[in-house]
Amino acid sequence: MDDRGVSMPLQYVLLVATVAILSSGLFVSTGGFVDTQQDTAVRQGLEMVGTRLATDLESADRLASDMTATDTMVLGVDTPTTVAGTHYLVTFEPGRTANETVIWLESADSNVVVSVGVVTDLDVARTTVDGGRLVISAEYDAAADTTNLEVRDA
Amino acid sequence: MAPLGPLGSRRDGSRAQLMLVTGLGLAALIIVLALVLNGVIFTENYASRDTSSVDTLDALRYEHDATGAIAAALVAENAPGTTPYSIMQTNVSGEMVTWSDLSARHGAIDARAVGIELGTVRNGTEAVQNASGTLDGASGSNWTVATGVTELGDAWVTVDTASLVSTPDATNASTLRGDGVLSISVTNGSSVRDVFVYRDAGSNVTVQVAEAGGVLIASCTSSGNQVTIDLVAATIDGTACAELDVAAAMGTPYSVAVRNGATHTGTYDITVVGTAADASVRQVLYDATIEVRYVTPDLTYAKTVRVTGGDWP
Repeated sequence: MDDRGVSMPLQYVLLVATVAILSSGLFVSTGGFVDTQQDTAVRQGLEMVGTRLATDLESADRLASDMTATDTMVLGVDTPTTVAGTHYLVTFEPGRTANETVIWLESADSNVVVSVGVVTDLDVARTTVDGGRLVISAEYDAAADTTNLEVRDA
Repeated sequence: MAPLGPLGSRRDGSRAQLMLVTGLGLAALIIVLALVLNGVIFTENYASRDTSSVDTLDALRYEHDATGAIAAALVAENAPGTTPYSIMQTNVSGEMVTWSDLSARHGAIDARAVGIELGTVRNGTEAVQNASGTLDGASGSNWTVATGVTELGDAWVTVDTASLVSTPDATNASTLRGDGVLSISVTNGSSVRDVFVYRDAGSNVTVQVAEAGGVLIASCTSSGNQVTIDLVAATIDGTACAELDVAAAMGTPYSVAVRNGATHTGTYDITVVGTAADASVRQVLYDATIEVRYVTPDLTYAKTVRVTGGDWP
């Protein structure tokens, strides 16, 4: 009685079409949600890494503030190798104001870029490093009689 | 592989293939979402830890403790007495070794390699009078405080205004000196700076600076029952008087002397890196340099720090 007026092939095609439409909708909505969540997670993770690096730079700056050629300051810093499953690059650049350094963190797999500013007494050398174990060191410039901070991969 | 159709006798058991694929796909997405959320949780956990990944404050604290310990040792050696320089230096060196060894043992417990080493110690002299009295030295009214001076630590005199010479002949340094005006003289043989202190007609205190040849080059004034002249800060009663920075106009080494001190009263403290030239001047350890080392798995810190033997800069 339940097959009345509908042929078997048509019933089958309707069923497949309905399931396909529902499945596609679920994939699109769930996939978009996952992508959004991943970008959010990457952004939050990079912001956190940037903030901690800024704090470490401030600590290194405090230690090396009045160093001379014979003094040494080498600070090892552990940052995550990946954030939310993606690798990232960290770039240190001079900021717009004096003594300001901008830390750019760029995700390798998604288009997420965040920046964190930090103000230090010492200049921070312009450089780009990978996430992971980093080293912040005080480098004395005899010609200028100044000490700079440098960040490099460990 | 199960056929998609046509449907027939197996219609109830063969239609779920597409839904199975969909279910697997959704399961994979949910797993990815779970991983992402796990990453978020890790980030929040990471954020809730210490603000810095390495506690550099411990290194600064150790440096502060080390400099405090050595400063205390220097101050203890600089207590009134006539201990020779060599004995004082030996005592400070011994104190430093003891402190360094103790801190190293303590640091080893926390996997820290720490210690301090004594660098150079500079000998100095201090002429000090804390209670008001005449400003003469053991050798008389005109007395040399120190010779071979390379650095002024403290150099201030607080003089009672009532004891100052009133309205002397201020033509030049000779007339002022001839009228018995109090002066502090700094000379290195070729350059001279005399700082004269007297009362003017309005009973204000005038500080007059003279250079070689007795030429008066500048003056500053103040008032009150007492006036403090500071040759290191270059101030009178805390007010700037640039010409009082006599050491800046001198090549080192130079000598510091007081003239007409016996007829004036007040207090003073003249601490220098140099050689005592009067019996009333005592030997002190002026300052010392120490190398502070603080090494942990995450931090290598070595710094040379200067410590003074008193409250001079």
